[in-house]
Amino acid sequence: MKNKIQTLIIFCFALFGLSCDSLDVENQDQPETIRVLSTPEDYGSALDGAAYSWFNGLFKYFPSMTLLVAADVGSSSWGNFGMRDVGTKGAPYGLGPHNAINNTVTYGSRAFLEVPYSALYATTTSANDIVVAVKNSENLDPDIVNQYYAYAYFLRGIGFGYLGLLFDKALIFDEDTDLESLTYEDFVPYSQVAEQAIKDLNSAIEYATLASGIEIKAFNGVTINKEQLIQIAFGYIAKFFVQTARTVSETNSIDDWQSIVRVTELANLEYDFSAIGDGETWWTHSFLSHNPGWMRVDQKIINMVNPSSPYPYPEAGYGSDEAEVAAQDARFGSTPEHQFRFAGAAPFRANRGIYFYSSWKFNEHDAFRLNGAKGPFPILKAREIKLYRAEALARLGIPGAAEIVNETRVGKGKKEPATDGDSDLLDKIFYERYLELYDTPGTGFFDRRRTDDLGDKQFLHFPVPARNLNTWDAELYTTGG
Amino acid sequence: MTERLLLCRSLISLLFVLVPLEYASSQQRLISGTVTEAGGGIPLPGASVVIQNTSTGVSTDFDGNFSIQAETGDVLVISYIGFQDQVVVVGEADNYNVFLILDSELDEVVLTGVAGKTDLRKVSFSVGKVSEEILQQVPAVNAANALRGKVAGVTVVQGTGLPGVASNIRIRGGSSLTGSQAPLILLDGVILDGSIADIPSEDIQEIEVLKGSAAASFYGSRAANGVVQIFTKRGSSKLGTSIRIRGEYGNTYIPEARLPSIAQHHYYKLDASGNFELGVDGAYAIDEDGIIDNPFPVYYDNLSLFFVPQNTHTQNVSLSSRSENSRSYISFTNLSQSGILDFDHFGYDRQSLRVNHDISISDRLELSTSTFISASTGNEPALGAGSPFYTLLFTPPHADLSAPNDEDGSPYNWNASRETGWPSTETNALYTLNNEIFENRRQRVTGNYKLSYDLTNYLNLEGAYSLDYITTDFDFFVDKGWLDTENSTYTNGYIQRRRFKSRKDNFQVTLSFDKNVNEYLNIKAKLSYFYDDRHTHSVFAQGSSIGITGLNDLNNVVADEEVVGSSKFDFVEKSYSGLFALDIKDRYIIDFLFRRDGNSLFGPDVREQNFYRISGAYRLNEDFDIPGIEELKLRASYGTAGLLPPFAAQYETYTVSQGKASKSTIGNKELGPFYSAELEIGTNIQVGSSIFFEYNYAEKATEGQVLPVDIPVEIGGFPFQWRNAGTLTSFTNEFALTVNWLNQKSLFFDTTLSFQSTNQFISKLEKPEYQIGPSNAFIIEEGKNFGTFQGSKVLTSLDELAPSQDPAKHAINDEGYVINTETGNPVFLLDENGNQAEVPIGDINPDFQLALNSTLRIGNFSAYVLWDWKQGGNVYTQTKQWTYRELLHPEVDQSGKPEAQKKKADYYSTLYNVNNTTSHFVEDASYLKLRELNLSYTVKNVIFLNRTGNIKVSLIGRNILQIDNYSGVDPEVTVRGNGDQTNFFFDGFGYPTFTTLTGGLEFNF
Repeated sequence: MKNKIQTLIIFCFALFGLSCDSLDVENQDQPETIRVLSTPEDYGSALDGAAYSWFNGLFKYFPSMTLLVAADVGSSSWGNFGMRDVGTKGAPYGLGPHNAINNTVTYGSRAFLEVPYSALYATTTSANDIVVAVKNSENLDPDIVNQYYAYAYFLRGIGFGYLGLLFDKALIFDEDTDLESLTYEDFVPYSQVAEQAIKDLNSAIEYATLASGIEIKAFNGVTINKEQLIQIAFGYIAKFFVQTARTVSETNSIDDWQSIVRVTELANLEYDFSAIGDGETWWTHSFLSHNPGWMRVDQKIINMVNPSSPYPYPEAGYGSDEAEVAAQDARFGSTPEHQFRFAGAAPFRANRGIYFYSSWKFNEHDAFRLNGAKGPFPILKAREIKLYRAEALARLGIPGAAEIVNETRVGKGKKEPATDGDSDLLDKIFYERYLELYDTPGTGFFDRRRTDDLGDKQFLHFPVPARNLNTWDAELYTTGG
Repeated sequence: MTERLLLCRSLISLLFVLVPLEYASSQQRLISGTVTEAGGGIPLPGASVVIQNTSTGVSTDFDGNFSIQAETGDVLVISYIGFQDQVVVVGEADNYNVFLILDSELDEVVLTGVAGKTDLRKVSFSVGKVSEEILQQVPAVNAANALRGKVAGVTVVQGTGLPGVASNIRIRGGSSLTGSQAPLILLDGVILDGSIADIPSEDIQEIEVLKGSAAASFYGSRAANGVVQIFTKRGSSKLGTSIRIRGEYGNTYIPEARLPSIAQHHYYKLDASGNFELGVDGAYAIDEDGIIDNPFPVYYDNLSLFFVPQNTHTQNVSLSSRSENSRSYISFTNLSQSGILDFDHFGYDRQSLRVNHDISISDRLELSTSTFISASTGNEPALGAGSPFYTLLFTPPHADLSAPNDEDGSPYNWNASRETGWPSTETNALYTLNNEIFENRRQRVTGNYKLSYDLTNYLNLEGAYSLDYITTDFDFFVDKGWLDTENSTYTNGYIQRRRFKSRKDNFQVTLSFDKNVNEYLNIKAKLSYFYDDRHTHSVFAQGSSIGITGLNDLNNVVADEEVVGSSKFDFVEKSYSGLFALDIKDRYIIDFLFRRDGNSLFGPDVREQNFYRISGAYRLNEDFDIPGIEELKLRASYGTAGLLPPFAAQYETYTVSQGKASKSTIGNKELGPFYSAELEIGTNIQVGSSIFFEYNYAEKATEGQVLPVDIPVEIGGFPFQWRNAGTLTSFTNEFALTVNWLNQKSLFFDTTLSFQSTNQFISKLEKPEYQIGPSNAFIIEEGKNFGTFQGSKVLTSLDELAPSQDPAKHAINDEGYVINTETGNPVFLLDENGNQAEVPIGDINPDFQLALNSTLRIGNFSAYVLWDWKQGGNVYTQTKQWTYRELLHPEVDQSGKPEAQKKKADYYSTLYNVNNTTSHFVEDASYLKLRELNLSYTVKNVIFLNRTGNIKVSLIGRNILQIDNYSGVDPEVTVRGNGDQTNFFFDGFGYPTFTTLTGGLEFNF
């Protein structure tokens, strides 16, 4: 019996010993905020993550593909990315009204609303976290502080900037805001969102100027230095300043075009803000938007280039306009080098609307597509900033706009030169914008919007997605239609 | 002693459970005897003879003889591995002959989830059992398939035919809205986490099934889906060695009637010579009538090049032996399945070795070991949208998929469809199959090592260590020279390697008490400690652009084209449990269980959780003599069990990629398990010796569904948090009826019916409704059935028209759909905004499921069949829907239809509805299947290598007959890797199930 008692005692001790083992297991894959923000040396990684969230929420298929179709810049009637929904028009054929966005939690294509929405707030909140962390850090080298502030304010600025471009309203904040106290009532209209964005970008420029140097490697394959960060920030200020307008009326009410002249001068971009596709994590919508089976250049663009090409695309079809269009603009043609390439009959389904058809495809980054989404692609083109400058000059009646326009109008399109005295100079600027900025997500949509050139009853902006409205117990609503 | 006194003593004993009752002693003398096997008279050497409540004991010699000093009134306990213990009270005699009965001849016993080996008749909840005899009729490819149709309440879904993939098991209603419904699988005590596809059914001795929380509480936070315990064979119970050699050879194929097909006509214009006429824009010109009834200029039977019957074979050699103090079972199995694709690099091969060994180290100490090693290689094609199963059905019949490539002469012209001018962008399915090389290699070692020590004849201490190590290597290779320019990822070659390693170690200590206190009271109890430690990690590397043609090696990836990643997570669980069961007079049965689980997957504020069970049964037949009724037991059980949250759910997380940290989810320190409570009420009835009936009603509510709940992303950047935010409830009625119609030596016939009907619904949801599953086709909404399809509804009544739709311009057509009379197109239900309304359009839940298995033996001939009937429930066919878009589904083909019923292509394009989930593609999923068939003849007493044995010749069929109304290959279809594999019936270009027909040869000697 003594042995049995000993055995039982050993058994009890064994259980006691084993039970002391901890149940706390570390998540070794995915750190938490406290770990991400615990070491000032790691702030750069958190900001790089915020930059990736921003890229991820804007430059892939959502909402790039959706907005190309919504703007009648690209055309596709495939159901993916909500393209068919935002491109479908009622009677009369090809010109009738659009439906409202189906902003419900069960709408099958709601990702084009939700993906950018979540990503942009991931960007703004993460950037804000770093601003707060830097502010509360002791003993940080002042130069490092300036570098972090510059980078964080830049990201918060471009995050808010796109929220203002895409959505009718947003929740804005800064490092002094008590986030937990915010309510749905604190959402502000897009114009105020753009103001916050521009304010943040100015802060970024201010701190970057003070910093001894900056190296940002968040965007794959490129390094952004101090001077470039300042220039890019100025470029975005110009973009948000101009493109936030929802209507011609709002565009015309911009009374400070002079500031655009100044800002674009400071942006001084002679290069595109680009990243390098790796075929895995870093890729853009160009992979599909250049695929002739997926998307075509909208017939409205073809008609702009060659007015004798009918718009909308006729139900009965029409013969090849390859030579005619190419004769109008040398960017159009049939070889791989052409920016826009004749691709023959569209493989879309007739019953979804022949008005979706077009024989042309965008071709500028076809090498990117054919190389497995590898190689450079633009995020903010120098050309876009230059054309803002041209637009500001033209609106102010200051000479110089035609020269900018002609860089591509004549240089690439081999068209007759524009002059500063042309009555249709603004049209020629937009002509260049639609052709040269096809590949930067949303740009064509924002331009159509501010010139009242969207289709009938097309949405002007996205509503706050239904699932996010639910988190505030707010009433569901939609836009367009 | 009067009954009342005995009962009082029973109650006193109950209060002092561990206090043994002592008796007065008298003078010792030499007692001798022989221990032999009952019936056969074979002496049992090494049997243990111990005086109860003492440490005094001896073993029998080689002839089964023993001698021991004992006193009158001593109780001798005689035990032997594989036999039932026997008790002898020493009386006046000095010599005793003891006959032990083989375990296998005992009344059925239960080992899983109970306090100790328990007579099935004394179990107070439902336990399903599948015997070796049934399992070996048509040995399943793996253990999961072996359960199909054998136990009431158990649903086994074979949603894909992909070789090497185990079927999915669900017991009664689902427990999880987000995870798997798979029960906890135990293999000889080892908790399996990985696939059970590795476990060959040839090695299985028996399977026990605990059907839900009411029975499975002993397994705590992982058992809400029930528990399946697989017992593998141990060594022979008789001295000596027996050898079994078994082989099966045959074919796998899709029967002609079930083969997929495509339309044989189109709606384009043909010129005078029968070729396609081109329109002004260079595309095929559409015929004015818009009806798909024009012939193609030429036809190629591409589908018969794709689906080609293949060979399958399996071999098993097993050796079962017994010596004086030990017994062994060694088995080797080889399996090869090629599936239905005619390419050498596709298929599944598996080799496995099992070594089970039991040894009596002393009279009180026994060591039991089970070791299993397997290695398998599966070469899987891509599945789903974009895969060869998709592009094949998008290929018009005038495209010749077998033609070589113009570019380099390699097989299968990659752009065969496009070259015809057909509006298609799809790649030749055969080209893809031939050039995408997948290989999935899995190695696995599982083991259970158990040391059992009898402290007394009623008190046992057992320690067990078990392990499960899995290594999976996944290789994917596309060589340089890929011609498909539209899939440019592969243009310069592509290599991907993934390695997944999982190591799991369990340790368990159990103290068991099992005593017949007196003739009225039996008590079983156990205290158990369980520790589980798991580590899994995976790494992957991939790169496109390779250097040397044909070299499948990561070193061959061109610089700067590599992508790498890894993941790693650990898991710790420790639990304590206590189980107490008693029966009084063999008729009043009570069982209590308590378990406390500490688990690293629970949030830190709720890291320990309690589970319990209380159950009871009353065997009426012991109190009342009901004519013809041998057994009548009423029972009720209420128990709780759980399911684990996903690993990362409790943590606040940032996703790290390429050194960048991005916000992912906010943590939840209060995240607990899915918590399931089940009430089970049932009865077992035996009529005479030939009718056995069991009925159960089960009501299960699984609260605390771990769901991603949206939170204001605007202020934190985290879009959601995992919370316990819903309840899934189910009601199940099930019964099993076995009738032994004939039970003679040379004439035997029995049937077993298994029935179940389950209703499962979301009784509570603390978040807005949302959609899940393949193509988000399923709605999760409070009050709705789990498994409800939600989408657009094609109108079937004019009353459903919206106010904006004029009834005068609509009518109902021959298919019962409301059509616009101007266009002839069907119309959809609209919401108040004019958008298509999203409404419930189907439900996967069947009315009932019924299985019938039956064995007939006439002399040496035997026949076995398993029929499986599912009545009601729906399946969604996106395979059909998407093929409508291409106007290539057979249903769009109007040729041969009466003129009045012909419809334009637009009609079908409208029904396609941009691939949105749509009522037209919800179909009846009822079926009747002949799942298993075995016709065999046994030649007995054959002399082979100087030994006597039997030879059995069999014809074996699996899935050989299917009756259904489904338009696809099989209504039992799910999308692999896309959510719940037992509830989300969804046809999405998967690997079709197929028929297997083999011949078998078996030697036993």
